[in-house]
Amino acid sequence: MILLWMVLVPVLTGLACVITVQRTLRILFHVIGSVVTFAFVLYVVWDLAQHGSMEAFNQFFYADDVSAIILSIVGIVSFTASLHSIGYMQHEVSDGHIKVNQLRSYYLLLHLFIATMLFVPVVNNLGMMWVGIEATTVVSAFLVALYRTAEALEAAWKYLILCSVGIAFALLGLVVLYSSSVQVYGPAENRLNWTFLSRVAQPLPAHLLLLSFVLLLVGYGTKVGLAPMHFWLPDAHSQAPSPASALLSGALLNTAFFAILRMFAIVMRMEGSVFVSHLVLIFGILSLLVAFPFILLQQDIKRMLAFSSVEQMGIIAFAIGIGGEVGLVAALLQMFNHAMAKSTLFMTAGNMTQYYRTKNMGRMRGALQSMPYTGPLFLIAVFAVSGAPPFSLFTSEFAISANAFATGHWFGTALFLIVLAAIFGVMVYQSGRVLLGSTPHKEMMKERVGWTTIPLLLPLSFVLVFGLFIPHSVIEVLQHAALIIEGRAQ
Amino acid sequence: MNVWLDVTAIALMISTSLIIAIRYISSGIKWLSFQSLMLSFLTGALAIETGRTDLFVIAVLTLIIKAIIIPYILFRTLQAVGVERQAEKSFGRDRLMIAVLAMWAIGYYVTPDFGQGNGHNVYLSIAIGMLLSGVLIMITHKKALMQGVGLIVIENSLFLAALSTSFGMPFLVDIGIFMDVLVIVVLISALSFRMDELLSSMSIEKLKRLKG
Repeated sequence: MILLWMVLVPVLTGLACVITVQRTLRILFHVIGSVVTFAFVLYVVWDLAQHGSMEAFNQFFYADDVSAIILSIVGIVSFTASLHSIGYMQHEVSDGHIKVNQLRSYYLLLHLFIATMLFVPVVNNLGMMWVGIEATTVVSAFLVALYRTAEALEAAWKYLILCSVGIAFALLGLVVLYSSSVQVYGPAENRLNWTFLSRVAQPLPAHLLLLSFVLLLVGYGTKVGLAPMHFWLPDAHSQAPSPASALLSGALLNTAFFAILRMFAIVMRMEGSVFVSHLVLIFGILSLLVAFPFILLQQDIKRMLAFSSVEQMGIIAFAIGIGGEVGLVAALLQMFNHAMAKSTLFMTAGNMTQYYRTKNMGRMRGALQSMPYTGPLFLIAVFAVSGAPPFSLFTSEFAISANAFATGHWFGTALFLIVLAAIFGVMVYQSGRVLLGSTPHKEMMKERVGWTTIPLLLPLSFVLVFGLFIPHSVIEVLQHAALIIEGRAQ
Repeated sequence: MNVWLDVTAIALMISTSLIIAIRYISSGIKWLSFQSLMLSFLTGALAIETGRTDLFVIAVLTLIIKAIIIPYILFRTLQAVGVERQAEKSFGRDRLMIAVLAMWAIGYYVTPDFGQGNGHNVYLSIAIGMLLSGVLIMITHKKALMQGVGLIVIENSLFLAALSTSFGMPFLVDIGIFMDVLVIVVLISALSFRMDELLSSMSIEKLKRLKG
């Protein structure tokens, strides 16, 4: 029941926001709704950490420790982005980028988007999961198109078309999976349920499972932004309003990855799953290699961050491809850490673009000096996301490469580390251009503090704390989740 | 009964091929509606044959959503931006027809004994051919609305694939897919309308601002 409420609360909040005309009241609803959603998510995550799994409505909903990790990511990022939205969108209105009445639809879409992302990790039926992921595309495409410019329109169009076609292939994969499941076990409604497929005694025919996995990997991989299916990602992530970009990069990519992990876990149970691991590994390495030159030559700050997300998804895919319990724990940790750091980066970048009135990094100067709150936050998040110690991404990336060396993937790991080092240099260089130096004109206004900066301390604190110390209970959840992904536990 | 199944299958193939070749967007939408109608007939026939009520519901929903509402939305958008819009294609009609034939052939060859395990599943072959043709429509047509049509052809093909291998997806999933497709069409219409407003063209060739 709690799972249903967790999904319903953001929907109701969105509806309350769209029917409220008065501004203060709408923001009140928005804040209350966000807090309640966050509370529900925290409760579910806590419950899952205690008991391992929960289900509801005749197994329509099912959540386990992997869901718990994704839910905590979506919960924290969406809570932060919701609070950040208040200040950010008010600024956009006063700058004349959007009209006042568009704010209502913005809040509606934002909460619907959060609801769809909370729905995906807790739904049992893989077909319903597909429906949920397609729903995230539809809702967030509206958000990408919120600014009625030609660029935003183009980004939304590419996003909608590429992701819909990509995900159509995932649906074909599900058709194959379902029909082979029906063929082996006879027709029933639960044949596409995760609880059924992950527990069957006799695995499904290997060639059909592999076919289905490849189709799903390509389909959902489009949504995750794995190269070479990533072309929509930098456009959509750079054109959306910054809180929406933070949600797209921080939460949505992981939600799509969750869908791949579910299928991965099913395939890992069969003999000879090495092919599958290698496939994921190749996509990971490819994403890393593709992202690097685009980060290097990027002028648009949000596009740079978007390509960094492609890189990060590459890292996660790499870690999952290498596999092993340590590798998978590290991959899940990397997912969480990246979500925290990248959402902070997108929201601070949003503050900067509002302050400098440009997205071009060549025209931003001295953000550390002129933006005494956003500047340092951006600095910390950049170092965190490029994997510098003492932040948590260093821990997870270190574990990933150590595990990869330990399992004998010498060449791949060396390549991985070289690209990571290069991207680290490039990210620090690029953000140095923005942060250092003196402000272009001295009479610039003071930075506004409040909704736009204070909420960002929440994700950033995770980046700091998890870099130094990870609580034992978190490790336990991660380890159990890794076992589930390996197909060795329920 | 089998004769009717064959007739609908052939109608599906013909309508898909024609959507690629049409001159006006409006006829593309009409053929799309016809294709969905055939799909609805096929589902209805299977529902009668197997006596499953859920399939019957799905058949009615296909008729209402895919054969009536979706073409209606697309048509209204077309009216809003000017009815006599031609469908711009990257290649000539002859080459496209040859390409479609190739798609049907590929569809036939990549689907050997699969599904119920009783020989070659012709409907699955048609589904794969339709899927590829849908992608072909999206690649070769430049008008935004025709890309939407291509997307629905892809959705229809997946529906046919599910129907031919396991009598459709689980009931709730099918309902969910219908909802998603409906909202996608609304979004496609809204975006192509705005594209026409903003760029005074519905051609996706105008979408070239974002690079690198």
